[in-house]
Amino acid sequence: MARAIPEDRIYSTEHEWLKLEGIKASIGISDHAQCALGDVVYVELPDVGQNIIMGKAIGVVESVKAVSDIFAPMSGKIIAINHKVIENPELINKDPYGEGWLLMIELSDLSQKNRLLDKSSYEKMLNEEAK
Amino acid sequence: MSVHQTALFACHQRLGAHMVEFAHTLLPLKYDSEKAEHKAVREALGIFDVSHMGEFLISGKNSPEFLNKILTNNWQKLKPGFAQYTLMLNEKAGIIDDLILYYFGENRFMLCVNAANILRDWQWLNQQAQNIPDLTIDNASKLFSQIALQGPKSAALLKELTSEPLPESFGIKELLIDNIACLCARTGYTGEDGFEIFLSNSAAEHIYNYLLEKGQKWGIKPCGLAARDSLRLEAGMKLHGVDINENTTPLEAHLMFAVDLKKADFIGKNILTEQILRGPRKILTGFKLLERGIARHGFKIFDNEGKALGEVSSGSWPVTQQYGIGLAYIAPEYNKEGQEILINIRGRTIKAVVTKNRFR
Repeated sequence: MARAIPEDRIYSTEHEWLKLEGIKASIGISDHAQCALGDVVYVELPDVGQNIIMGKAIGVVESVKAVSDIFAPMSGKIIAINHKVIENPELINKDPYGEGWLLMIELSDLSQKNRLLDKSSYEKMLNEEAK
Repeated sequence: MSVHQTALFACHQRLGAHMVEFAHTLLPLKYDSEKAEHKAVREALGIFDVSHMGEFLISGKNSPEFLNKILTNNWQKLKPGFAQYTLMLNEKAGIIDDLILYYFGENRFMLCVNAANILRDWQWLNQQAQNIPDLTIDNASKLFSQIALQGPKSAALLKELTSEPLPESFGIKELLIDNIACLCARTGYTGEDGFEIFLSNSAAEHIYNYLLEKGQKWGIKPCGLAARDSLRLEAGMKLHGVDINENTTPLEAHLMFAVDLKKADFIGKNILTEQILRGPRKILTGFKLLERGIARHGFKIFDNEGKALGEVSSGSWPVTQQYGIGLAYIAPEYNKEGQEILINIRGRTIKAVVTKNRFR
């Protein structure tokens, strides 16, 4: 069931991914996260224009069995949210790295990226957790 | 108390199930998708491991009278080879368990009880059976495995696999499946046509694999506890420990259809009758949300002025409805279909409306 972890993004310890595009970044949850959650049935995202702070809870992903917080992997201002995922939460399960993206932000502190994990460090973390 | 494995554990592992502990038993929560499993049961056929359920065998000349005393429904409505949904109450008319009573004829009965209540039910039965001669009660829970086949195609599958006519709805009979004797009851916990198959632990794995293989052409899917819960809720069925417990009465729980008040007496009858005259303090009703969200057990319910009306007992994600559904205990005056209510879902006030108890 495990999808390959994309090389083109960085990861938080809370299983969010972040794809850098200059001073902007798109954010979602990893394949590991969607698999652990099970069928996502509801997503709550903050509003466009809101400022988010690295590490703070910004929304909720709810599966059949549980509610899980979404944490901001980096700080910034929200410039877009994925309305498709609100209408069709199962996109997060089907395509967590593509159509299942959650929000897009304008970063306020690019240096924060150094505190996130690259693909191989994230993979290592998952392997450690699995033990 | 240690955790048990059912006789089907190896099957679940092979199928890649996500296992969870429930009532001291390791059971599949889901295989790959709770939603896909739920849909399979509604559209085709699902197969469940329900070996954790409890089975008590009751017999003897005094068993009919005993059962009519400790259960709310009347077994005398049954012909041999038929079953009924019934409740076991304490002296305060609180529900100790909800269960199915199977009648085999000749003073022989079986009770199928909730896994979480096996010990409590057994203790109660023994207490009530004290000093009653010509009454035998046996806890056969560990001797039986149980497989549930549920869905519109379940009869079609079984018809192919057995030469005997299938039992009618709520009927129970022994059938030979691949030459193995299985007790097949046409009962279930999903709201679909289906069968609950009681069989020996030694035959369970073989029969499960056999049904799974033969069921492929009918669209069979292995289903776990998550789908079992969303299916029963959609069908308006209650879950003991969540919607009903020893502090709720059949009147409050909207279960009076399982009570025969014409019986001379049964445990809890006097308190229940009093409550019927006085009126209940709360009623279990269905609701559906009018906005996105999922109501969960314990979430509070209000009216437009902020007055507390009750709380959610079970909630689920939308399957056939546009938004989430659930069951809730509310003040009786508000128990009207179409009544608007508000539910506090993690700090957000969500609009909802009272519905019938069933959603399909």
